[in-house]
Amino acid sequence: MSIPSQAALLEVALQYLEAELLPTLEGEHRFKTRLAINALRIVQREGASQQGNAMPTESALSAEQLALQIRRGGISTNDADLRATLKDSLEKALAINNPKWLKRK
Amino acid sequence: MLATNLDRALARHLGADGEVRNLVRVTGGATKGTWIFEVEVRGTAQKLVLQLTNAAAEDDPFMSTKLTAGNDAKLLRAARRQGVAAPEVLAVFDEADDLGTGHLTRWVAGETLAPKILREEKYASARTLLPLQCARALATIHAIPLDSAGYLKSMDARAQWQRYRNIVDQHEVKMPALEWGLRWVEEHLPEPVPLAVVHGDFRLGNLIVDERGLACVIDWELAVLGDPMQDLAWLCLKTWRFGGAYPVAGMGERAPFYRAYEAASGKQVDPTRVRFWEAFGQVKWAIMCLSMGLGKPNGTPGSVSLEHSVIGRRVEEPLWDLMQLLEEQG
Repeated sequence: MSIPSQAALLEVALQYLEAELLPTLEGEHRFKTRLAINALRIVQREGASQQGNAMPTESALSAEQLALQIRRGGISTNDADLRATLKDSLEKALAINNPKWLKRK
Repeated sequence: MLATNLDRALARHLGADGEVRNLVRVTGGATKGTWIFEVEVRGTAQKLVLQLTNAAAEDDPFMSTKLTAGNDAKLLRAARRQGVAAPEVLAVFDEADDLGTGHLTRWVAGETLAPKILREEKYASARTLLPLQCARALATIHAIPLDSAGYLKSMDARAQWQRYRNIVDQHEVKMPALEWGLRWVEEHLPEPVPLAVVHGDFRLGNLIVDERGLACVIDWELAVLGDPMQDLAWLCLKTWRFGGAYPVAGMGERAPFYRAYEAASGKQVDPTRVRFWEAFGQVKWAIMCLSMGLGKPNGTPGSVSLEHSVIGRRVEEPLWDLMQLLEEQG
């Protein structure tokens, strides 16, 4: 594996964008650079979470089947197990996409 | 190119006699271009706002539901006649202008960025005024005579549900929580009510705010004839609180907001219906996020704008909020 690692490269690039570039910008480019940093932070968290997560395609497949089952009315929206499952998967996705959202009041 | 055509259009519509100065594209408004500039009209410097629907917006799945520039202008004029602080339309462009679809309005001073309005000291007193001003503005919007809004589509709860159901069915991505939300909405559709002009996107970001509070209500393209409770609920979505601690625009409590709306409109606020629209609003925002993230069908990587790409990853936020909302209140 090449050195520095993927994670190290990403972090050093992000530190430049956040700590050095961002404070020099205004207006549209400040806004867009924030968005770019946000996008890269998501990639970073997703990369970290996928280490040791062997079968992402399998869970994507079962999510699609569950979606279709709900679409067809095969499960009641009041089903407590279903609600718990959905909350769990939303929580996992938010932990990658926007961890701060989980702490919002 | 833009500046040259704009010079010509300004001469044609306003009798402007100088060149456009300080033409600046402003951020915000993901599906349209907004520019601010100055121009001299009969010896007086004027600051104006140009809005054009950009080419990329043709791929926007919500485009078909949005008002054309001409109808948008009609609605802005009807709103001003009713007493709503809406932008003053100075010109609507046509083919002869060679600018695309769009219109020109008078610039209004103030702030639209929610984090600044919610946190800067400068807006401390505006924050105490804004929720009730919003209640009164909504009551006024909802009182716009229907005969001056014949170009608006009638979209009650069921029609809106069907529209969003169709959008999701066209997407390849299937999300269990989104399907759950759509089904919950379908199961809880309220009884039809008399329709009124609703703004459709009344929230921080689409409100110009100054130190005295609400200065102008902008971005009317999502207006329809619908259930007035829809607008009250949208303003209370957690997404549109921008981290503020209170439900109404992140800065106000519900009870005084509802009372102010009732006093101004003479109509009862139905909290159950507001809650339904809040839940539905969360489902809608999730679908908007998903659609923006997907871009056009079979879009290649890089074909979706940075802004839309990042919004695509926000799809779980409103769905999480939806499950919290329904857990809190059964």
